[in-house]
Amino acid sequence: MDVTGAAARRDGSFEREALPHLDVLFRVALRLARDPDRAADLVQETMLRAHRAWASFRPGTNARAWLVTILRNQFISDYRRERREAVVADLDTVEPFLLDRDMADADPEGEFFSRIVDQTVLDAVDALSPEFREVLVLSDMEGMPYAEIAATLEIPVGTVKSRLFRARRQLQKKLYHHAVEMGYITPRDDA
Amino acid sequence: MTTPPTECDCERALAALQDYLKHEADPGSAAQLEAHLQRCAPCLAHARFERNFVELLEHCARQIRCPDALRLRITTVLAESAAPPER
Repeated sequence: MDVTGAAARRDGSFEREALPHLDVLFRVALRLARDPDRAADLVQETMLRAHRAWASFRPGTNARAWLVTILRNQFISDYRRERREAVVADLDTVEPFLLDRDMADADPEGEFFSRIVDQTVLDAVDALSPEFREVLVLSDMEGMPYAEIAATLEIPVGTVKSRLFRARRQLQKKLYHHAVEMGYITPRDDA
Repeated sequence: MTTPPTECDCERALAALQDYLKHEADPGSAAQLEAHLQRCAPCLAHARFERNFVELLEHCARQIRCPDALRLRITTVLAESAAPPER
């Protein structure tokens, strides 16, 4: 049996299965690298690597997860030095189930979210620590299921959930403070 | 007669909310949460808060597409690397 890379390449299956995920890959790259040029290079490198490794992709499995994994590994090896400096301690302790009290009092249903412009949201996402950011991006922005995220990041599902919880709380708080500053909402004064 | 929700009910509901909103809760806990939300206004508000938040993030993501120039660059490079080697 001859399953050479060349044979795998010529049947067009790579283009058919991988190219539809370019938007996702670019968005994830943009949030990881936080720079459009670096993101573009990262996506291109990812597609080349994926293309070379296409013979190792099992047909019928999830191409999106496979591609995002390659992209993230590429990102980590490119920017390993930056990541080593990231603070990893205390990431996965107790889940803060409750919303920030002031925020819940001022706007219990979060109507202020609809007034915040995209760039403010993206800047706030980019300010999260890498461990929180990647989980939030894959889950809440790309809609990937827990199991897929867990496989991609090589962490347990429980860790995905708790990081997502904490990433959301941090981001919500930041957007709330922004909304107060902009006068979109008035904090309730209990004093 | 139904009993009013207790603090303990709310705690359990909020712990289950994230999975529920992501459609990853098991049917049992989803039903339990739905029943709780029907009779607990603060938890229902909280659920709407989380949904509005996620909708904002999804909206932001959808505005971003892979630029055409990059798409072209990639398909070009792929086509070149798939071409038979020249001798």
